[in-house]
This record gives sequence, C-alpha cells and structure tokens, in this order.
Amino acid sequence: MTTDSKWGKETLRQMLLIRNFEETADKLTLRGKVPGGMHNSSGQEAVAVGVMSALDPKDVIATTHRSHHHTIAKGMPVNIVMAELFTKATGCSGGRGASMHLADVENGHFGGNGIVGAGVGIAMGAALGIKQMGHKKVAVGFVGDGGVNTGRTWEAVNMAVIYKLPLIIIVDNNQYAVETFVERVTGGNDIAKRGAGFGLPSFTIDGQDVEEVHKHTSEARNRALAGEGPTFINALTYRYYGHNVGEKGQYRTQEEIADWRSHRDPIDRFSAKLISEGALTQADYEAMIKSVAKEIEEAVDFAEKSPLPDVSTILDGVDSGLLGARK
Amino acid sequence: MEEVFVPAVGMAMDNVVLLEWLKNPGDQVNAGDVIAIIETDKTTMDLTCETSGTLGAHRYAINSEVPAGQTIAVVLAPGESE
Amino acid sequence: MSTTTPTTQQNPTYSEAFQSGVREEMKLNPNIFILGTDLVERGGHFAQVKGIAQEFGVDRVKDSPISEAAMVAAGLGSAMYGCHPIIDLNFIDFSLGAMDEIINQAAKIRFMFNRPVPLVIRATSGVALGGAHHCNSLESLFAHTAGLSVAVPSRAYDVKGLIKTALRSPDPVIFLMHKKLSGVRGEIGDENTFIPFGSAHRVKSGKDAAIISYGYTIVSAQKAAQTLAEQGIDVEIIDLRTLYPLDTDTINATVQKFGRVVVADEAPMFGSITAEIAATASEVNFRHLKGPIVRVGAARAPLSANPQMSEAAIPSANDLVEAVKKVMSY
Repeated sequence: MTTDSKWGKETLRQMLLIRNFEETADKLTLRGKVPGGMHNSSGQEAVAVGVMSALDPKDVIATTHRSHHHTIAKGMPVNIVMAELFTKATGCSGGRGASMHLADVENGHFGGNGIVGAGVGIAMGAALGIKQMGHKKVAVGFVGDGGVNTGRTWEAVNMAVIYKLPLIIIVDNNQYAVETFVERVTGGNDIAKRGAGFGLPSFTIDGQDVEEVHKHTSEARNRALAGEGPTFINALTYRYYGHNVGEKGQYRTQEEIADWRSHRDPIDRFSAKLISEGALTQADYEAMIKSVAKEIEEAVDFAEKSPLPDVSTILDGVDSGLLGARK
Repeated sequence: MEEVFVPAVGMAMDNVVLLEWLKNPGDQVNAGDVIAIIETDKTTMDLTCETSGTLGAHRYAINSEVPAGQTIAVVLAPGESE
Repeated sequence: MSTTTPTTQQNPTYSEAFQSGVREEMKLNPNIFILGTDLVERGGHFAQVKGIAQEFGVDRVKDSPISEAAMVAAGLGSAMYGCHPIIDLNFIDFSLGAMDEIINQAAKIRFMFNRPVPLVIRATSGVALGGAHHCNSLESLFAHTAGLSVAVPSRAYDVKGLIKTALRSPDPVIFLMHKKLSGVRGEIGDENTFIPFGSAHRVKSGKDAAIISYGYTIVSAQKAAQTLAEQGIDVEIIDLRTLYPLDTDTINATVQKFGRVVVADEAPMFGSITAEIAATASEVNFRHLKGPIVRVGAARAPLSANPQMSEAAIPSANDLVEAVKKVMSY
C-alpha cells in the first residue's frame, strides 16, 4: 500500500528525532550528564511512532522504564525531555524524575515507571476513568517482554476485559529483559496467545514496520471507542544498545545486533519505502536528518543552560497540605 | 580529535582511579588500542580509543582520582593540536 | 484538637456510618465510585457499602476480581484521570499484593508529576479472629510513607466525618476500619460534619496521666480508665483518629499537661507508630516529663488463630492499667 506523503514524512521525522535524541543522550550519559543513567530505545522507534501516530493527542499513555521514544512520539518537546534527563528544573518532572520518570499527566502522559509492568495497570485505571466519565478517548499501556512475566500485568489485562475498558496493551517487545532472552523465561513462548487467553483480540506484529504498528493501533482504537473493549498487541522489535547506558554484555552476539540494524532497521525501511514511492526525495531526507540534528543540539543546549531544581523545594508537593500534612 | 574519557555508568558514581597509562604522549595509536586502565569500586576497566592518531598529553597522573565523564587524554588526527 | 460534638441523635453502626458518609459524598460528586470484591450483592464483608450499589448502580459500585495490584492500579489511574475512587481491599493484609501500586505509585505521583491522586484505599484492619494473614497492623508502614495519609477511626462519628473529609481530599488516603468495631453503634454527624485529619479527639479528660492511642485500643483504654478510677487514678484518653497527619499539638499539650504519658496500640511494638510518637514527644517536651513515656504494643510475632494466643500477643485493658500505674510511680 502506498503511504500518504505528508503522514509519511512526519512519521519518518519523528523516528529520526528519537534516534538522534537517544544516540546523543547516550553519549551525554557516559559523560555524566544524566544522573542514574538511561535506557536507550534506539531500534524501537517504529513501535512508539506507529502507536502514537494512531492516537489522538489527548489519549492517555502509561509506560515503562524505557520510555524516551514513547514520550517524544507523544509530542513532548525534546528540550523538555532532555532537561528532565539532566534533572534540571525545566524538565517535565522538574528534575524529580530523570530518564525513568518522564510524564505530562495534563496532556495524557501518565508516566514512565521504575517498576516492571506498572504502566499497564495505570493505563487500565486511566481507561476506567475515561469510561466512568463518559469520555471518548483511549488509554495505552506499554509493557516490555520482561513485564509480561509479572503478575500485575495480567491482573490489569483481565480487569480491562471484564470492564470492557478502552485500553490498548502494547508489548514493546525488544526480546531482552535486561540481559535475559525472552524465550528463556516465557512459558509457552507465545505472548499474544497469553493475551488471547484473557478473551481479547490479541496479535503479534512486526514492530519494525511503522505502518503495521499504526494500522493495528488504529483498529484497536476504533474497537475501544466503539465500546468493544481492550486489544493486546505484541510488537516485535529490537534495541541496539545495552539495557542501561554503557552496558555491553555477552548475552547476544554482535552479528545479531548488526543483522537487525542492517536488515530490519525501522528508519531505513521506511525511508527507503518513501523514496521508492516518490513520496520523499533523497535531498528531502538529508535535509530532514540535518534539521533533526539541529533540534537535538538545541535541546542539549537548553538542558545545559537550564537551572537545577531549588533544593529548598524537596518537601514541596508530597501532598496537597489540605489534610494538614504540612503542619 | 577524539576524547578518551572515563564513562559514567550505573546508578552509583564510583570512585575511579587511574591505574596505568599504556600509551604515552606523542605515541601513534590505532583504533581499539587500550590507552589506560582504570579501577572502579567494582572492577578494573580498559579505556580504549575509537580512532587512530597521535596521543596527546596525559591529563591525570597514575593513582589519581578521575571524576566520571572526564577526559583523560585526546587522540589527535594529523594536523590537529590540543 | 477538635472539640466538635455530635449533632445528631441517630445510632448507626460503625459500618453504617461509613455508608452514610460515602452516600452523601457520592450524591454530590459523580466521579466517586467504589471498586472492590463482593460489594454489589453482599455490600462488602463488613456491610460497609450495603445498599449503595442498589442506590447508585453497578457503574459506581463495581465488583472486582481478587486482583489487588489491578484494583489499586485501577484506582490510581482513574484518580490521576479525574475520578475519586474508593478502592475497597477488604482486609488491609491484602494490600501487600498491591504494595508497589500504593507506595511506589500512588504515594509518589504528586511529588514527581505534580498531579493529585484523589484515592481512598479502604480496608478492615486490626487484630481479631482470623490469624496470621488477617490481622496485620500495617498502619505504621503507611504513615511512614511520604505522600500517604492514614485514618484510623475508633467510633462511628469519626468514620463518617473522616471518610467525608477523605472524599474531598486530593491526596491518597489509607482508611483503616477496625474489625472489632464494625457493629459498634454511636452517633454520627450530619452532611456538613467533616473531621479534619490531624485532629485528635479527647475521649475522656483526666487529672493524673494520659493514654494516647487510636483504633480498638481506645476501647481497652476506656476499660482501663474505669479500673484506674476505682483505684483513685483519673486518666485522660486521647484518640489520634489519624496517624498521618499526626496531631502533634495535642500530643505535646498532653505531655506538657501531665508529664506522665502512655502511648498504646495493638501493632507489634518494635518499629511501630508509638515509637515515633514517644520519641518525638520526648525530644520536644523532655523537661516536662516526670519519667519516660511508656509504650504499650503487641509482641513481635505473627498473630495466632487460637483466640487465647492472639489475645496474649496484644495489649489488654489490664496492660494499660499497669502502664499507667508505672507512669504514676515517677
């Protein structure tokens, strides 16, 4: 199927923006700029952009420890994301969260998370809120292949099914839980089948194909809005870097990484398609790469120049104080 | 110019000590050469360069503490200077 | 300290007081809903929501699978979205299956993301029959966690007034109702009676010494006070009503007034909230004390199903009598 040129260019640019952000942030992390490190999502751009391009900006997401790509695709400006990684006052969480706790609840980003599997539950709760309040929106819960082996994920899936909640569960399946290959620890070795066991539409899809991710998410969203309840999508993808910055590990071969990079890279695949269809010229593509690099450079500059949070605020916002807690 | 630096990794900022210089200022180095060995609280680690060229000055002495993220030396391409 | 006096003459049970407060707030706020197990038909295991599903419909009183992590996550996510859920965990012991959702998520969202989490987690607590898995006293753990407030009412009036306040609060509240108090009748306030958190209640004034406590131990303290009165000792009883916020003004005033104070509850004494109260009160009021604050609490042991063993592990009215006599000996 031919891709709409405007949508294609926006989608491609988003993926390029994420890739450049991650590779830049990775280097800065090694230089000590990102306290606590970060989880690089390079290679997984199509899952984030494919899902988010199918959502309304006001739809809700809740995600995982590896969430820069989801956050940027959700529409958060990269300078705000970078500033949060630097734990600066101008970051989306005021420097209180860093890489793992990116959020913009007001705009439907209910947060990255330090706890494996927690995002699906929070998104399920948001979907319940949407239903209770009669709104026409959906919530998306991201989980990794590691999180599909924690109990709370399936409690949330089951609850979404019985209450017919407008929820989409996306397994951002990069195949390694830290350094453990998914097949070694996943009984039955078919994650979508587990989902199907809870009685909801459940698919395994090519997470390196941004259009396929978009299509499945759109269909899931339509079902959710029609009151048909949740959908479970297991999107196969791959991360190029270690679990955390600077980790190399012996758990996979360099050949495996090179194979995914050279044969299944979501950006290469999609840009080649757009160029072959005439939707994008090589010159356009190069200009796009340059403009993305400039945007990230400016984001780093913004983050560098931003002030640190005021230490005297460490007790602020623990609670509202309305119950008297600040007495 | 490539900066060879002590990478900041993990959640605890380790005390890093420069244990040994394997290359001296002015040496020709090749990509992948081990330039120095550092010791963290947990392990010793080789610092390698990614490009070929001439090694610049040692910026830290043996047995000195190096903050994570700091450059310990640069690799100069032909015609470059520090 | 609150000096509100009951304004109505009805005598509902402790559980009915909860129903009353929840009903009133549900009428005013369409975004309040209750989610938990066995709520619709049974009305909860302690009749705490009996009849509410019939009145408000099953969209607002939702029966849940026994999935504590998902229950609290549902409350958390919907609270972040704009609802004001009451998650009924049945027994507080079952919160352990959702501790991540409570302590890592609900308690910290406002601090990290500047978003209110108006969530009530209700559970039955306290020591009664039921043994090791149904009698944990976890209130210290919640009070210890920044971001959570903890209510521990001892009578119907406070149940209603505190749940109404909790349902107007933008913060997560752990609402603990003692098993042995479920059927105890008492007066309740009207629809405009709200009990502020962090306001203790003087159950009985006295001249000689004070017992500071909460929950069912207030009942034991009242029995102890009778025994002590027969022996010529007039003891004051302070019911904290909430453990966080803690009414430190009343605690300090009480220590300063008597210099002889007993702090009591039925949680294992090691690391309990009574230690927090005794330590803080001593630091602030040391020169007013006639001797050390005496703590009374439970043994550091799981509770037994055998009633005699269980009773032996927790403080009796007689233990309180002895503790008061000890502070009177200074």
